[in-house]
Amino acid sequence: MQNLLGYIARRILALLPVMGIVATIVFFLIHLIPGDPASVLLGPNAAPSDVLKLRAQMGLDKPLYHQFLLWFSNALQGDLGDSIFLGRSVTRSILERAEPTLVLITLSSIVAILIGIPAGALAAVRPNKWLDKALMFTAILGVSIPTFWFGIMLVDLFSVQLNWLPAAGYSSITSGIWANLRYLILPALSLGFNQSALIARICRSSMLEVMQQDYIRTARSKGLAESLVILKHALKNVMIPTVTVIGTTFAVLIGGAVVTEIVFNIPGIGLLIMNSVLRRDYPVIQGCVLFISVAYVLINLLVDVLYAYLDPRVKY
Amino acid sequence: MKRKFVGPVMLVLVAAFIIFSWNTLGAAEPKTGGSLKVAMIGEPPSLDGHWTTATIVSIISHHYLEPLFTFGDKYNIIPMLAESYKIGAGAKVYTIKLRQGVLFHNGKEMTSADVVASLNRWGKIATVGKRLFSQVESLKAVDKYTVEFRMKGPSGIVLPSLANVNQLPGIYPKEVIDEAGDGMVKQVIGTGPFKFVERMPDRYIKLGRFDKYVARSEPQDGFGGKKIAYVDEIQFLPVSEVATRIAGMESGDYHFADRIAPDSYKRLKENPKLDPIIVRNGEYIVHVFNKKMGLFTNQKLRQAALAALDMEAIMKGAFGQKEFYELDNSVVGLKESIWWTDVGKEQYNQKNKEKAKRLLQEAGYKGETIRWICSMQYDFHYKSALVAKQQLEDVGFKVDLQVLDWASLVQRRNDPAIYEIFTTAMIFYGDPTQVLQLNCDWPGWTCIPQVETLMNKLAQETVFEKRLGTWKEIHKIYWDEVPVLQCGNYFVFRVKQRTIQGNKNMIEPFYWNVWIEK
Repeated sequence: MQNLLGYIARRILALLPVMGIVATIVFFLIHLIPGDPASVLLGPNAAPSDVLKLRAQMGLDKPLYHQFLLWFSNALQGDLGDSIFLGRSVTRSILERAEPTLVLITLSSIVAILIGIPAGALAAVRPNKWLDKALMFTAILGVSIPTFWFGIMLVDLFSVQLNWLPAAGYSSITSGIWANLRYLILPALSLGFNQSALIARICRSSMLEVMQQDYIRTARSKGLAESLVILKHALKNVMIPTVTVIGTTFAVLIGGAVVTEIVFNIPGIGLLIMNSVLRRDYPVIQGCVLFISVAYVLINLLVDVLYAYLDPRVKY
Repeated sequence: MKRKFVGPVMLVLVAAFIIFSWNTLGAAEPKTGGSLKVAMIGEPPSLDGHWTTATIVSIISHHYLEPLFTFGDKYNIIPMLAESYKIGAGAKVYTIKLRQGVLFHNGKEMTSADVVASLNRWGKIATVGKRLFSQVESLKAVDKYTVEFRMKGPSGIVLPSLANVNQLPGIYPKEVIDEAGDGMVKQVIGTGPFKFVERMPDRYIKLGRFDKYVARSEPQDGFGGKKIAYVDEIQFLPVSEVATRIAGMESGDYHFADRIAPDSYKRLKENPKLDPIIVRNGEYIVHVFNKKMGLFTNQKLRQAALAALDMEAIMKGAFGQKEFYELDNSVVGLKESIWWTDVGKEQYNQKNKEKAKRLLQEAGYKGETIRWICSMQYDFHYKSALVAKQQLEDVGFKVDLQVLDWASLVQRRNDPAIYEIFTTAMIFYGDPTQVLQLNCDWPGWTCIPQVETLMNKLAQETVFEKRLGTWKEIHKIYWDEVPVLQCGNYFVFRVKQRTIQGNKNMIEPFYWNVWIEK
């Protein structure tokens, strides 16, 4: 246990230089792109002289290193600055959008797990039979079909034709679980189906490997029912690579569910980043990237800790 | 007809009349209540009506902010917060009496102090305001309900400027202006029929009925007249993806959606629950020449480009269906406007490749590459540029079309060293002195001394017929000089639920006098 806590502490400490490097790279990258928030804020018909005046007011005319040092020193004190467009602090802007994104990717991960693991396991149990081929074909479809197209098709069927679910939008959990779920069922299905494909394939490959192991042969020779062999002995060992995929996908989706958030108009972090890039809301872009880096590292840490639980042989 | 049938037939006719009257009268009678959901193209950059030229801000701020004057049905200028006005001393003094008893959303009565503070601020920030205030000697409060503009010379642009739709000269309480300083207003308070309730960025902007709204007594007239907030609240929902706006309308999640793609028109027209609305709003596509440096400082080269273009093909390529565009050479692109003119139409839509090639040769063009910047963020900008590019290449131009995101384009168009043409769209102009593409400061840099002299004359003239005459002179020069390639007017596609009644389709949508039929 002491070793594990030490490992966790070391990983968290290692986060600091990662954040520093990411913050520096992102800051300079976004300032290199043409366009600036002043011209977006004033609109397309503003006079260039007004744009220049606002740039100066915003401090955007100062040398880049000066702007960076100012932002960085504030960030070290926990102040990520204020959004140029949203009328609130960057921290508040991100926190307001964390709920929709976290709920969406949690639900979609549940969908992905509920589809992907059984599909992968079933496919591995009867390799190269029609069920295996059908399931893997579906997995290929899941990876190949663009999420936005699948999302629009789901909206067309369930919202427009059947009128069962809303087409877009979001209702906070605080307004009621069912109200929240109503808006997230279709996006979770859309995103979850895509994720399930990768989980199914990883699960199938791992399962095929595990089913060849000696302990599986031993379990069968002891006379255990096949279902027990699979569920109790095989599946647990398949979980390690599967959990890696689930964890990594979860982490990536914190900033990466952009397409789904756009199609379903969910005010999450992905949509926030995209809009901030389009309108050059520098403080928000920087804040979001920092948030996503931290989340990514922490989720990977959680996955590593889970290994120790799933596989007693893993020691830190 | 046999007598025995007369009775039953009369009974049927009377019953039909009653049912018809009931339905007709029932449908016409406004109903209060409900939450109106409006799907917008995105999140507004602010809620400060003075601050930005972004149309989405003026659409929303029109509901809580009101100006002294506004536009009626025929885009004529009518009073809004003004009660009356007097022009004196050779059009150098404008005395405006304010309506009394008009309340702000914080309960305070609007007075001349609020008007002076608001307009002084607007005059420093807004493009149209700055042009007006360059002519203003002083703006002062004469008494509690009267303000006076003293101009440096005779002026014909005071009322059109104060009625400006975009970057609205709305009236805020003085303390809100004082609190704002050089920045944006921190409180969203006006005199409009709706008051600001809440903003959750990227989710909604909520406005609620202002119960103490003091309406004008005249019937609704364009943006003015009597305004009634029938609905309890309006939710402006930023929905950037057009497919999502369409799906939301079809599923009934939204009551209104703005800026829908024309290619869904046929499908939405067949939907019995929806009313598609095509609005002529005075907008048109322009491809603007860089006249500060480079190739297109040469007028003949600009004329060559204009001669080559087939505007029908360009507009069809950009919009697809005829219902969504029209060919028109008027710089004020709305036929309903008193400023509409077709002077110079012989230069428009020439489709004359031979003339273009000849002019190209006369201009001394040696095959230099023309860098053309446009954005796909508005797909019709890109499509029109693509078609025009092909037409120019057919006569010998060499074009490099560079596609950027909108923020990059808006920045890059300010640097004359890096492009020859950029694509944008122009909005409705309430007065020709507001035309941006004839402005020497605006990207493109149309600096024609004769035009500047005539524009000053136009600004100082007060008699409409004389102003129109001057404007027509400018219009002729515009089509001779070719500062831009003006392609044609396009129309905005909006959709509403059939249950929505009372809406008026002006150049910008608004939702007072609108109710939800249950």
